[in-house]
Amino acid sequence: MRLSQFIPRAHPVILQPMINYHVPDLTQHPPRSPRVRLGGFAHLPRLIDKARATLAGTQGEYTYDCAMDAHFWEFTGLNAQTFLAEVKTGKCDYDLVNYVLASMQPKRVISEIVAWSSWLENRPPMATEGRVFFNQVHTAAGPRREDIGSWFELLDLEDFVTFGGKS
Amino acid sequence: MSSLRSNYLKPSANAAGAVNLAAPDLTRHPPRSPRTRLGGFVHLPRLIDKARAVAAGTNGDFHYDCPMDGRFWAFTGIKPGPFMKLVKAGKSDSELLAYVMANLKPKRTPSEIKAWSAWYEQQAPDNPDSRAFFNDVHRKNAAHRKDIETWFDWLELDDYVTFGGKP
Repeated sequence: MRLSQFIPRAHPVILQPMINYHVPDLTQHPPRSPRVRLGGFAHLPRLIDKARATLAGTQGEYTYDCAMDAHFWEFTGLNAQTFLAEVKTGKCDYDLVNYVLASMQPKRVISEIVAWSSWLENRPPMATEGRVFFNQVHTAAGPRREDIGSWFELLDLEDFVTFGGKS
Repeated sequence: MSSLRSNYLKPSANAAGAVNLAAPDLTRHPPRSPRTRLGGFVHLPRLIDKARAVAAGTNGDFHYDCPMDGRFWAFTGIKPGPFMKLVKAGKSDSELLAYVMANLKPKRTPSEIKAWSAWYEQQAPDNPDSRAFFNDVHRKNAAHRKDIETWFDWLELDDYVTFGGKP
């Protein structure tokens, strides 16, 4: 028993709760990095976090079925509404990736998934409009950072700065 | 992808209860993914988050200068003590990266840093003791997951489960 527990605190300590990844509240924390992988798929954990938050109304400024998500739909042949319905059933990550693997068209072997992830991870803006948008975000979030070449790097930077990080 | 946020001077960290990535509280949320990069270095943002949390006494179960960090020290020639002093001085990510780049021994080109990051991202346990440890934690966290091959996969799974995720 510690004596200190009987000494009243001068100022009450307000303890903030731990985040809960199964019920992500994206007004309180960012989704997982786009680099995080599930079943070899980059971006899929982030997409799942955004889907769960959208269903709960806690997506904040994050958008489900955005242009980055579209690369996943294009590669897997899945679509946003069908996938959202799967998420809505409360499936865990494992069940969701199994759903993806069972439903994707065409079927892909793991080496194709890893190659796609590598491609997505290193993808810079390609269109001129996209490059302008990229530049606006980069300038706003971290103009001193000279290591932001890909969309994933931009998203990681933006998540960090949005939640208080000093770039 | 989130929408363009025009004012990073009012980050979400100001919202009640939101995480503040400038002062990470690793009892509430995990550090950044080991795949997240700064200056091309994987793991460096995570290392910085852990250092800031240790300096603030909010590291929870996360350790600074762990064996994962050791690989960064080995590649860069940076020492954990001097690096921690800079973190305690309140340096931003950009400033910490500038210190790393100025003190690299030997000097490294961007392609060498990228190659190191690619190598590190693929590292799996390479001896029986660490493999047994890896396996114990994998089994405890999610024995059914068949996509946990590397230390980075393993760390991301551990972060996710530790903070409420259902793997």
